[in-house]
Amino acid sequence: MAYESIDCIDAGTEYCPCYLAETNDCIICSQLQGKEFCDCINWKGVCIYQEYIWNSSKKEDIRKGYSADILEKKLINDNALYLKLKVTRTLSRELNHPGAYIFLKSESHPYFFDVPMSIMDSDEINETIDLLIEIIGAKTKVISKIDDKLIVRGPYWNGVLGIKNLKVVKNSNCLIIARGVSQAPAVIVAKKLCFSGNRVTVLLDPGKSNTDISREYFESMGCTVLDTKLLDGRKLDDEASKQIRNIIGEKNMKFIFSSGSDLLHKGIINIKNDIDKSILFSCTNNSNICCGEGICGSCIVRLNDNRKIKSCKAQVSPEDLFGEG
Amino acid sequence: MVKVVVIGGGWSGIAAALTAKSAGADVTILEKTDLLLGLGNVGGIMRNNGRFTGAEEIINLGAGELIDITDQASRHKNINFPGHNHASLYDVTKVEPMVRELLISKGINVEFEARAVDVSKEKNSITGIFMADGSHIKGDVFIETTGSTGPMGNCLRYGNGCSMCILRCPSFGPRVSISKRAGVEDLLGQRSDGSYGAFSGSCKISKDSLSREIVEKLDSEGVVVLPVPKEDINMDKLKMKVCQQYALKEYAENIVLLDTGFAKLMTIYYPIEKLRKIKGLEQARFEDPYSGGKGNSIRYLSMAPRNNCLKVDGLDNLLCAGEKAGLFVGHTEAISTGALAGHNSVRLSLGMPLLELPRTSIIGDIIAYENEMIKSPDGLRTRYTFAGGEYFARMKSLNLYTTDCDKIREKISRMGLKGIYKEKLV
Repeated sequence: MAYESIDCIDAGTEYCPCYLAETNDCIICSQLQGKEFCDCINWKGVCIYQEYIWNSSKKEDIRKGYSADILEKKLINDNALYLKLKVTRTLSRELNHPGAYIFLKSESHPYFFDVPMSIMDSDEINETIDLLIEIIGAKTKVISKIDDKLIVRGPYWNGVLGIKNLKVVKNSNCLIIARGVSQAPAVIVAKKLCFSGNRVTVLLDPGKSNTDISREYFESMGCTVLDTKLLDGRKLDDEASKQIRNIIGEKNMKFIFSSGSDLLHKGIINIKNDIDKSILFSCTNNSNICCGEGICGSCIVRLNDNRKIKSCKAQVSPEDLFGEG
Repeated sequence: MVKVVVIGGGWSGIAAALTAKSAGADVTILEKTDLLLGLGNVGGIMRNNGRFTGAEEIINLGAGELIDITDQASRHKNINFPGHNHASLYDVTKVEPMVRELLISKGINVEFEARAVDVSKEKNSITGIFMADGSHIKGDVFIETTGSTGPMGNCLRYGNGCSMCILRCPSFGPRVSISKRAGVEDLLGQRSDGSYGAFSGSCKISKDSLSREIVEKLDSEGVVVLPVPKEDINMDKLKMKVCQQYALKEYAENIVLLDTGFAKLMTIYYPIEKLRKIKGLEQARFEDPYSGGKGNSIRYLSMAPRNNCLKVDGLDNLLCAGEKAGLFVGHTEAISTGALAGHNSVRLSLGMPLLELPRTSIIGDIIAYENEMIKSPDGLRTRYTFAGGEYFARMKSLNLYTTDCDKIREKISRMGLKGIYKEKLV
């Protein structure tokens, strides 16, 4: 396995240093992991130790909860809910990034009803965010009943793994493979890719969400959208595999974004590596996100080399997580 | 062909690259910044006291190219300043391009903005170096010359914070101890109070910010000594600095300025407000470190345990030099150790016995002496340099100090080591 440093998505932001610095569990800095000397293998351009000391050895302020008006609500079907929320200009700007997500809950429910939700689109001018929510459990069922206001906590950013690959690809052909409710984060990924002059093809499968609401977003950006049935039970559909293989070859794809389950990610990584390992790859982060701050431990995953990471904050290459090792 | 990878392009790394190349290796230098020489870009003092003997030994051993460059680039030769005789001061603004040209002419590959962050290993051998961008550079033998200075967190924990020195960690990323990544614990220097590390020993003031009288005197004589106002004399500062050869009373009671292109102020840091109280310095401002009014870089936090051939203990194919190899101070010392490590890298790859310089040479002696001394706590609080302090006293007592070039040539010849670094081994 190639050497891959672990990055923290929050390093150098206004939310860094965080609680993890106070408890000597910083993802980046050896001095803030309880060691006495620098060992900056994961350097991110700022000295977090210095930020911490200059901040009187305290964390920065944590993310706030905002009350957000529901501007538009559409119950697409029994499983899928579309929401447009009014947020602040700053928050809409901060959420206008691939991988951005928020925590959402009703005003009247306690904190443990917080549910992480990917941003489908963010409009900085009108200060709105668009969400696609799969109604699946207690928390999302409660949200589906609310009509006026929700509490939004954010911004959070680690909804996409391998984000550096997404940032470097320019003026190339790119493939997005999206299924179910994961079509939502794919929209903002497509936005970034189009902004960098890429030509984007989307293979879209409504999956369990039973909607293709993202289609109009993709098409408005000039993406080509192809309907595809991606999964066959617990594996990649044979026809879909062939289609993916052909399209990568025909269009000389330089970048692939897998927006779906871990099964989908693994299947696509295998196809990609079969064709050309150098094709860049990113995917959605499907970990169980609970607090988003690296504290609760629900998001911990093990990489191929046995290292454990807190995936709500830590950026790694998807292939270190899903690849063959 | 033997591939030697040198990590760090300061004086010792460059010296190592040159002798490895002379011995027949294919050589790559990995330098994290956009300049060679590292702290050598703000140093400049050569041939003072025992360093004269050291420089001549380097020349006679066959690694004189770098001494030729510093001699050629000298703004002043054979000058004296408190505690120091027959010094040369090279122009820090001229020397880096000269060194760069030399390396290119020798066919040495230099990778700039290439920050090494980790190693790949097989048993006790390093197989390659991982770079910050994720790439992997393979080699047969590796020489670590990453120094022991910084980075920012260390300068903060053990000093007054990042002082924005020439190493420019915030821009190019921090130094990583390669030997430590390979599993060998670092050794740490201490100050006299037992705390870790030491401050770099000088600041550089822009000459344009000094009075015309001072600049004229610096240009003509190379040295200006100005008394410090009584209320600002701080003897304790001397204990904090790395350069014990300048930890003399004269350096607390006076401002000593040397002309290295900048006005080199021989103190660890000096608050601007106090500095500007001195006649002629009313408009003074720092060039290096930019925050020289507040602090300086912290050094000696990352030495590798090694033998007297400069092979790192516990690893089969890693050598070290410069400050990485011990509590050494100075360019001459860096070139001395670098040249030996470079030569030995090729011997190591060929399975030949490594060269250990005899202790009748000051280079052989300082390498061996430092290694003995750092086994004790007191030894970790000492610095080792030909230029002064304990080691220069030792040189004199052992009759190893001389400025007689013929004598030094004869001595190296008698050892059978004349031009040994020029011998092609592969």
